[in-house]
Amino acid sequence: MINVSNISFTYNNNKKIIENISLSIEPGKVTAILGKNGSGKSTLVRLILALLPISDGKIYIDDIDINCKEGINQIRKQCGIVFQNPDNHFVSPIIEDDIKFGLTNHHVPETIQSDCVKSALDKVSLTGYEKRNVSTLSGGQKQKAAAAGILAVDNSIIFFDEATSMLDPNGRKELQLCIEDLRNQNKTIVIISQNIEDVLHADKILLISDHQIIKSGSARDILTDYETLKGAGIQIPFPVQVYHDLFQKGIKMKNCPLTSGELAEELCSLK
Amino acid sequence: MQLEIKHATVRYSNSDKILDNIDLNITEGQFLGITGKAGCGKTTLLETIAGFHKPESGFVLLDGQNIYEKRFVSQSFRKRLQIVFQFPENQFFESDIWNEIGFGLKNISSSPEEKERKTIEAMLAVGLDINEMKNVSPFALSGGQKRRLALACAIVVSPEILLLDEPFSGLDGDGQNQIISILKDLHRNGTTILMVSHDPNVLSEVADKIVVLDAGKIQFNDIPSRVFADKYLCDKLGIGQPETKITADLIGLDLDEDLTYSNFIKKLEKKYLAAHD
Repeated sequence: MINVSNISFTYNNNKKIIENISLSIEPGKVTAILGKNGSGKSTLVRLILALLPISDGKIYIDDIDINCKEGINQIRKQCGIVFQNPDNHFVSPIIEDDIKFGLTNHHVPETIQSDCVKSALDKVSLTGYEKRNVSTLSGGQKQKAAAAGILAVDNSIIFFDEATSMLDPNGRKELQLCIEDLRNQNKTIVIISQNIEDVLHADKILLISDHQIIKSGSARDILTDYETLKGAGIQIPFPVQVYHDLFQKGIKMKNCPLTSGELAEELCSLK
Repeated sequence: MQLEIKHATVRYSNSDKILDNIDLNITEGQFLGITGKAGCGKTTLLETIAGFHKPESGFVLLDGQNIYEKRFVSQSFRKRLQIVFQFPENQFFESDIWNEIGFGLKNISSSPEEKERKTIEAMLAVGLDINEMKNVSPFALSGGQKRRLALACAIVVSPEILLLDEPFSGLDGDGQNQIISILKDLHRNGTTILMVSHDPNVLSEVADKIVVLDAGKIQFNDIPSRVFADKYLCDKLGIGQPETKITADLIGLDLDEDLTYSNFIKKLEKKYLAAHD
């Protein structure tokens, strides 16, 4: 369990990036953080992972303050992150060596490391890419390789920071399935994404605007709230946009749909 | 302006062919989408057109001139064609946003007044607040803000040809709508645009034609409605289908080869209001 209590943060230019944010990340759940560009989402994640020093407030992991050696050790031990830019991940030019670096740091015996690498690459459809040089990969393949590096390690809490932004629709679905799989294994997942499909199945969504959390709730509560999403500068889900635009034209569906299937059902029931 | 790629094959050292005998004609003012699954050669195609990867065989011709020939005048080429990379941070090197955008203008010898006016226009166009942002380091920006800045750096020199590699990745809803509207304006004013994207919704919204690559070969070069017609094929090629098309198919709505959102809403309105009359 991660508890964030009244944290604030400013970079050197004195501009507030995070202002008095409190939240809890529940174990075994998928929590999504939505917010427009520059709203402080990535900064918030970096603060939780103790990659940036907190100006004000406290962050606890399993009731241990992360602002001490024991807390930082817990964070490093339990948490993994797939960064927005996959190039920030790689410590070795060869994929296998790169994934093994993380495994070694997590004291995974050398005898089983190759199996762990293979299984992680299978999960992201990069089977057989062990010996490939990272520089020969496309942006989407780099994102998959970076995710494989995190999936190989048995972290109990995993953050995905815009981790699907360069993936094709199939790659996106694969990673969504991986996340579903991790949820079934009772892992704690935090997703930061602009893509509605990535957060559709989250247990809880936190909506950030003007450096604060303005709303939290279930995916349906948040993603069907047209006015709040619009005000926060977030992409409106396609079915919700259709519902809204038809309403403006005097065509009223019974319920606001959230998926293509629901939209089709609502449209058919208009007949 | 006529841009042609003729029998181009590209590979990186010791790799398999990334582009395999590509033939492509791009006409003036065209908005060409480029899509395909990760690793199919989209970025390499864009960068080959931009002059970064000399094909091992074949040519890239701009107005009949091979851009990889030594005699080709590269300065005018750089002025005519601009590229926005997939990782925008790879193209920044100035200490603040103002100078980053102004750099391209300095290279084409604009007067100080013109430089200032164009820099302001470019910042406004991509939604970067002048007072708040002009002195900020490009490297201190969020991922989405970096994309806006990279686009501002490209459009500030008014290129004839604009190459964009995943310009929407990581952008919020407002940012996406803003960039789509900028690209539509540029297209309307005659700029030739080549855009790599994984997003079938965006591609069907803005592109005249879409090239689908698979393992370095062109599988499709057609209008969006024909490229996205077959769900099975789209899944196989890893390109997905636009939500307008998916929903229309589910409810049996004919979109008349126009997959744009405005046409989708118009068709729905016609169908349901007619039913109520």
